[in-house]
Amino acid sequence: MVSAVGVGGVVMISRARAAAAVHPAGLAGRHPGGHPVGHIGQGQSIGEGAGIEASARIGDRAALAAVAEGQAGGIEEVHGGGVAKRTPPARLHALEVIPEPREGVLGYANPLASARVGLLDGRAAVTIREYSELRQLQAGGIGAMACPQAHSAVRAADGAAVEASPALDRMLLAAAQTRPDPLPLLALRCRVSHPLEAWLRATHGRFHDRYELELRAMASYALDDDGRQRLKRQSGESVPLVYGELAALPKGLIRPFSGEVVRSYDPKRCSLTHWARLKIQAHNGLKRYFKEHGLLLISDWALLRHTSAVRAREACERFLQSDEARDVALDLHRRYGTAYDAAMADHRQSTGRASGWLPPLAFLRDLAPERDPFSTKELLLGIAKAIRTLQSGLWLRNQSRRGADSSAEDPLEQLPDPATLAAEEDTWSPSELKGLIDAALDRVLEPAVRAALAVDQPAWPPAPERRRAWLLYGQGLGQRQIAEQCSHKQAWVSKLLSEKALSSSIATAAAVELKRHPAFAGVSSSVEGAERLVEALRNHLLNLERKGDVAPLRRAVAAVLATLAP
Amino acid sequence: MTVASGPEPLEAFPIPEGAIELCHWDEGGSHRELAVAALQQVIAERRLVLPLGPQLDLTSPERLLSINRFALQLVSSGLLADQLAVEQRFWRDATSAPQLLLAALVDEENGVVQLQGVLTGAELEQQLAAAGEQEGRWLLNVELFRGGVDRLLSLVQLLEPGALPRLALAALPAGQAGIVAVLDWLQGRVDELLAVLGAVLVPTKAAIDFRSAAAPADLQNGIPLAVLSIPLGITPEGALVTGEQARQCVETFQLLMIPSCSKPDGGSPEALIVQLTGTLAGDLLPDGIELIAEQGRLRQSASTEQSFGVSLCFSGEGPIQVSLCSGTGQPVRLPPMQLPQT
Repeated sequence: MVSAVGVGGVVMISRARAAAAVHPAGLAGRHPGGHPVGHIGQGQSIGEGAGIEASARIGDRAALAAVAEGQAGGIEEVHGGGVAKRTPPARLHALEVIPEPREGVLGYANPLASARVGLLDGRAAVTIREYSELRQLQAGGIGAMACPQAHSAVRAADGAAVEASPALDRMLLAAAQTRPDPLPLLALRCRVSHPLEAWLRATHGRFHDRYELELRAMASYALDDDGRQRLKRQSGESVPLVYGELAALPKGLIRPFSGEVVRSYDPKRCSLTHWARLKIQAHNGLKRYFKEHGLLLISDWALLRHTSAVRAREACERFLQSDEARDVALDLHRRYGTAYDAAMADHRQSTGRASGWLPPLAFLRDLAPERDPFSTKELLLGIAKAIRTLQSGLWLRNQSRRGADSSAEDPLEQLPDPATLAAEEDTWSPSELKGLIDAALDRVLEPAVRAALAVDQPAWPPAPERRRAWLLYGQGLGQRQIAEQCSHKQAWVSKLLSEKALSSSIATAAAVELKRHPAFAGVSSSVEGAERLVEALRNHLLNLERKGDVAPLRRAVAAVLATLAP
Repeated sequence: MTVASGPEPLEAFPIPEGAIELCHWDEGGSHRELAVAALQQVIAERRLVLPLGPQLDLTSPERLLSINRFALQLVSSGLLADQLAVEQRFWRDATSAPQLLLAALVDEENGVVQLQGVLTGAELEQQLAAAGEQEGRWLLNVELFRGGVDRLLSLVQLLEPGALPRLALAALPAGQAGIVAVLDWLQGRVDELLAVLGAVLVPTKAAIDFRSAAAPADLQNGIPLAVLSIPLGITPEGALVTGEQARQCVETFQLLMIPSCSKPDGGSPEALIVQLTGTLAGDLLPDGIELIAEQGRLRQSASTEQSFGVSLCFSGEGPIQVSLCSGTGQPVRLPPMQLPQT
């Protein structure tokens, strides 16, 4: 084992793990969109999960200074090809500090915790992790690729900088835009990879359990930067990957995504890290992936528009700090709706789509002429964040309620027998009414179930667990049991079976049949009567007639399934 | 701007249970367009035969929808909306008010539509006391709409249209008094009070050629300046209906309103001819339809009996109130119309 030990025992990396962390290009899996994942180019790589075993944290400048003064021991780093190499202690004494992003937390609380201090040629030098470490998808998950060469661009931009900052971002961007040097761009690519990772982890942490999200699949959309410094043009010519080359590419999403974030960034709009968050929220591939898993990414701007004044007030009162800001914020929110509608109408007309709108400066000026447009924007984003926080609380409450509800498997309100809803109970005997109901259900049940299964059937060969879920449903199993047996979450089963929609549609069709009969004619003139009949029929479809029996809808599913090819 | 501590902000939002994921959608489409597309998709997926109209202008926010002969107001907003703004103008007249109010929450970027539920006119009335108001719209909490698309489809398939009365729930705007200016028609404008009845302006010459074939004696009433047509129909249950509902009927006819003047070179309207005719030239009108028009104390009426057309003519000042009756069904009342003052 090759170990890296600094002050207090800092980084421990086993040779075997280090080797495993470096993934040969192109051997990784593929994400659902078909793009390769875990693709790493040549360079140095430290794999998270597979690589880093421990990290130390420091939180004060004294500790940094102590290290800079040479009290630190040596450190070993992992280089390309998985070979660990000892850095000559005389040249670089370093304390590596790699804070693990906490799930559910966006951004890093302590900027000092991301600095790395060393002696370079006898001078104290600070390596700022955000600019010299690329977070990327690797074979073992999301990991870090060291890009020490990017540090020279940071030093050139601001030799005294000890932490990442918007000002440093702007300097690096200016350098990238004005010089044909790939390193400032690389430093910025590193920089945006951190908030992208934090966003992915937070979102994954929140939703993966219920919505079957995979962090690797999510990361394949956004952390696809292999750290390369050369770009192959369409002509086949290989050129340095500089800002100008990215800017010259046609408009639209480019890979790596970090490059797209940087090339589309305008420092007048917001900070680079916030821009990264906005861009990932609007990533079409990721949006598709989320939608397939039952989630939607909705922009702050749409969120602000569709939140009522009442809810905005509640969000601001609970989650915005000062009273003054609250009043100003609510006034701004009130003005925002109308202005947004007009701006979106223009955006739709000019682009043909609803997505991708961002408030230009003119919009912000018109919205609040008395304010600085940048502070207007900050305030709007603050309101959006407060609304998201409020929504989060509502969602959590809903989840816990759902959890409590699911303790009773497949609950269904107990409703009257449909036969009791006939108009003239004296005229029609219960057996006659039951006969009418059974006949009506017989006519509509089988075709409706067959149609529902036919819609799903094409998906069975690639996903046989879907057919299995139907099969188990037909046998009378509850959703939780079906989910367990199909290795999915209950939400997947619920979405697949759509039991409520299916039973409602069958019950309504049966009720339409029944209302033609004089015994049920009254339902056509009463909202309450019509609804009670449909609910009662639904109840009949979903509930057992006798203990040990299987409900009629499930029986019909089993019967139809037996006639369909797998 | 600092945000006080609380749960971590929600970065993604769960798709509501029962939401419709559109197979195809125009990302540049309006909320209403996507909501209508969702409704059409559900109807197709469930293989239901439910006529959805109007055939023209289905996505126009100026129009009510008609689904299986029920008048439906569609209100829409973003998927995360907690309130919906309901236009009051559709609810001013009991003859043309919607019977159902459908709420649709739309995420146009992802093509997801949540048909949240419906309120009947009577249910809406119960909610209005607690509803907010803003610029001619009621603000209703989304949670008030219940039952999703299933409730809508159940009600429109199980109920007879007469089971859901049309209710006038909104007051007329001050000073407007709901009077339609006939002069507007000459400038191509049709008041919304008439538009909800399906009223459209038709080319004057064609209409007059048709009209003269139907009732040549009326031509002496002057030079026609415009022709407004309202489609009418009789349902199988014998109810007299207008607009899209009328177009679905087997027995259809129309009410023409023709401002006219006596000067050959045109000018301001001096008279209003109100005429009941067939949809096609030579069509016999259904028997027993009574056309009534009142202007102050002046009252005229005409009934159909083996008729190809009946008409009334008014020329004085003061609002003209026109209504149509058929048997025992509810009468159709037009908003009062006013000729320009001379």
